[in-house]
Amino acid sequence: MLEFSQLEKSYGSRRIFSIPSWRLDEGAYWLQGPNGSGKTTLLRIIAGIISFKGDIRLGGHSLRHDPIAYRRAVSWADAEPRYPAFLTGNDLLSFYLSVKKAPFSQAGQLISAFSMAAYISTRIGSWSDGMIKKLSLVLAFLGAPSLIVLDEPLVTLDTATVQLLYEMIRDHRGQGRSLLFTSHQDLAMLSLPIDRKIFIRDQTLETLL
Amino acid sequence: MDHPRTILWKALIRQYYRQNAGFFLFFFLFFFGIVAPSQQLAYHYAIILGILHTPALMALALFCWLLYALKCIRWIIGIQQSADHAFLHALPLVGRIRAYRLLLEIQIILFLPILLYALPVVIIACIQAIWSVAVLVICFIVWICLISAMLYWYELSYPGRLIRMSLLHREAARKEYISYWSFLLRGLVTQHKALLAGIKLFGCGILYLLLKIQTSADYDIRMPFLIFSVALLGHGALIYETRRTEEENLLFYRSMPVPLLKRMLQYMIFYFLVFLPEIITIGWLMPDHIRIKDALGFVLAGYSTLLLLNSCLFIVSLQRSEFIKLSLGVFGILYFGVLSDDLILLSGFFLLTAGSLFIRGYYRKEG
Repeated sequence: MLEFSQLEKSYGSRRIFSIPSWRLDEGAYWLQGPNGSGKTTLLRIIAGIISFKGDIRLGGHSLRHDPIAYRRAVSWADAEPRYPAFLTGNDLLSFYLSVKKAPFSQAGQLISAFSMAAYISTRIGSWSDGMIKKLSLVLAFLGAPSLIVLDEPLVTLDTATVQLLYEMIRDHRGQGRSLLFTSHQDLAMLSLPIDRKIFIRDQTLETLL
Repeated sequence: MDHPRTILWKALIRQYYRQNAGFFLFFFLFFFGIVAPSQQLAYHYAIILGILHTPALMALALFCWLLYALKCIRWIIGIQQSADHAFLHALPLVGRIRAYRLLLEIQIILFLPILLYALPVVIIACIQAIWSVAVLVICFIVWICLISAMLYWYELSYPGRLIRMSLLHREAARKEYISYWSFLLRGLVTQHKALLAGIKLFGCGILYLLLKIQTSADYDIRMPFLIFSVALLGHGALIYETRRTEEENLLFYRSMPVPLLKRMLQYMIFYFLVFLPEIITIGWLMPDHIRIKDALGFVLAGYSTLLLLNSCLFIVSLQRSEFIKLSLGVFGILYFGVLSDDLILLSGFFLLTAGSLFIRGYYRKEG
């Protein structure tokens, strides 16, 4: 499903990744690694946000040669999402709906599930970090991506929302979607269905059982 | 001023006018910027007479005032319901009548732009003895202010109950199309309103003053353009801040399935709107004070310069000082363009360069 070929990423003279070839089949994956090992960088590369050498293919679509189809297949939520304070949740939601061509009813369901109806029409500048995190998750689950990439999805969420997130992850897995997330919390302990763990070691990736 | 009033001024009025400065500037330019200062009185007198004597125009004016009132109400209630303004819910403790009176004062001050226009309408209606219209306007405005203050008071006294009023609150998720350029424009208008207003006033003012003195007998466009290009350089600050907002808060856009040409179109629309006041100013002075070919050269050179500077920021990440140096380089090229009387050709070159730099640099592909 997700294939890397000759992927390299450096910041200045410091090399972060050098992955000649790597493949990830459909499933739910937990990306692990110590601080500074490049977890966020890798997720941003997969999301098509930052540049790199080499190529990535998702479901046969190359990020380099078929960027629109690739980006349509992947969704991303940042660890510490930042949105302009002057926008409302509705502004972003409308924007995502139109770009991702997602059904309007899906947005309503997600807003209702995440209990965001009361403040979705207010400016993001007045929101708490937890509310902004919820919005980033709603936006990531919009549309029909084949891979959902979540960077530290549990951070700042309350217990009820964490449970809701687990249910959503299970639902999306049930629908055949793949998920890749990072977390410093023990996801296996939290009964989240993880197919594999991926570890970043020596600028490359190791898939663990 | 007593404490509750001071707090309301700071929390509501000051914030409202600050946040909406761009909105007011736009309407001010729209109403007062399109007519020469000497004709302002006659122009607005004609509009007011139209409102007084044409029922359809009167209905339109009242409808616009109602829309503005709804904007005020939505803004105030949004603020009242935000977590960081929860302290406002202590206001009813000063007593029902006093709290209502304070909120009425707030509404009157928010409604001041409308009141300032409605006042001459009423005065002229009275002078012309059109009493029914005068009474209608007074009743309408009093009604709006009383109802608005009542809604603010109700929200403070019974928090959250107004959430079901669809006119005051947008639906939880509304179906509408929002373009990326509108995010960029709102970012400029809300976060850099002073910078934007200063650059626009300077740019349009310089253009107006320098072009106004041009006559067919004594026509030399080089000096006005050179001074105008300083205002163009000022736009560099707007471009830099816009790119910074994108890198910090709009990073998600890069991950979205949007074709590259459509992305470029967003910047073309955005900078066209940013440059629109200068285009209007030039168009206004054409052809009496600036020849059509020169006007086209001014507009294209200005617009293409903005796009070029924007595209440069996709190629390399520059510090502010480095970007200023780059802008000065572009200024140098513009200087030679105006001296050689080839502004349109130069603009074409700038546009092509801006397009190719954008396509090459947007995703910053490596390797």
